[in-house]
Amino acid sequence: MDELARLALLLVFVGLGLKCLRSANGEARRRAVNVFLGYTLVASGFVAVTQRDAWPFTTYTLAAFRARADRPVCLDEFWGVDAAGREWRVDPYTWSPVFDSTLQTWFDYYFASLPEDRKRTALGFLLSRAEAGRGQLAAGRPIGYDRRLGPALSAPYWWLVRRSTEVTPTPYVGLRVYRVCRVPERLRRDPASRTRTLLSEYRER
Amino acid sequence: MRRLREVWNDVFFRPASPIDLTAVRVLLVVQAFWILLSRPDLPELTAWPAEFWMGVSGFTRLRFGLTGSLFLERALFGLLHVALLAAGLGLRSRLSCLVSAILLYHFAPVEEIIVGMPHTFFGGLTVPVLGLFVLSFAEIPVRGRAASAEYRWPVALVQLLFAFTYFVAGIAKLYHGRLGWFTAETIRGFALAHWSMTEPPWALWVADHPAVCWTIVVATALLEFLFPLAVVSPRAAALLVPAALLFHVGIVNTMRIFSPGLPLVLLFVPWARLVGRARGVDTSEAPRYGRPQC
Repeated sequence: MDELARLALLLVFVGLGLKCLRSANGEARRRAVNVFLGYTLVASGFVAVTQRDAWPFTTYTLAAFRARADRPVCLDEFWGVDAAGREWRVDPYTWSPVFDSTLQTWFDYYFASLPEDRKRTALGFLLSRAEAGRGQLAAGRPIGYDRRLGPALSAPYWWLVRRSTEVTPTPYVGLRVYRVCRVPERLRRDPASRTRTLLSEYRER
Repeated sequence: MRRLREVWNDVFFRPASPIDLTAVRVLLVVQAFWILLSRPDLPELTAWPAEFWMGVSGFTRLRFGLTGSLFLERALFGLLHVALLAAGLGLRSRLSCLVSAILLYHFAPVEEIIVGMPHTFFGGLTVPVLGLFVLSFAEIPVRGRAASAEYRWPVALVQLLFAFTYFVAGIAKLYHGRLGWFTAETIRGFALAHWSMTEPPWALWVADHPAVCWTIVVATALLEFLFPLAVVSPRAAALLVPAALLFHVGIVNTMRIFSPGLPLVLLFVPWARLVGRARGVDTSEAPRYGRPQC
């Protein structure tokens, strides 16, 4: 139901905007425009103060929490495996329109709750995407966000993680998902303190 | 109260040139196009296996009008490009802005919809969605027409919606991090956390200099909470917009976080004055706090 309330917030905005359009010139129109402006400010303010997102009236919560350098930072990493058993980091643009970090979040939220056959379906799909991306990159063609405008002109995803555009010339036959954790303070003192845990593995039958 | 009304009228209803409104429309369209051309696969998510859609409720699909048909989504994506092109060229301006806004609203969340849209606000389409809706309700700017309040309020509202990018981000920090967010230790924490993930070039240097961290804290607070003044005062805009650009250069080099909506700072350029100067024509606006015209 929250979703419908969020939709209603936008629909009222649109309704009041349309009312401005229909109002004749003069006082009535000025009143309609003032109501529209006031509603837009109140809707934006309500979302800001309550921090209940109703995009496109939104909370802008990026970097709003307090970061701690003495706490572990964990990310999931997707690695393709070739026929020789070598691992290759899958490029973050491979999953376009979903970015690598979004896929990581999906993996953390939902993957574990899937039954085994559906886990295989999901990982099999990801392997096919990873292999398609590898093939394009191996042929020197841009993928994902770079496909139309090229790397120089395209709008990157907001998080500028390192690309992995060097790929194996041989196809991937498997996919591994690792969780990599580090404590920033400790990592500075000891670069080997990063831990890497295999979360899931998929192999073509 | 009277003073407040004067400021309100000055901000939203002082006469402005149709050039400013045209510039806002073109900027929103170019921004939307830039993001769309960089996200050519948005309709393709429809074809992903159901496993990836398990967190997307029927209400969410309804909220954004997601059809579930790849054919239809591709057709709508094509229509969005046509509508944006028409809006940019000023063809059936209101209708093309409205169709563009509705379809941007439909497609913008797709990038993160499978995880609940945690950062959709940061994808570069939030202001274009609302802004194109606003323009679809506004007077159509006609070249050569006299300055009018009808050309001002949509411009000011879109600028304000952009200013919320910073102002609301400041409120979010207060809400989630309380006053404790505004300490050098927080900046140091962010710098080191991001260094451990993406190795931004300035991260360690920032983390090692408490005075720099404090400077960033103060600058962040000032920029985020004062940015709405850029809508009220051109002088404030002349300070805050370059400050925002520096702010983003710092963020990219300390956290590797890029703001795809950044080109919209151009909303604060006084386009009518620049065009007037280029043509050798005086386009100065009516005196401030004059009788509002509508």
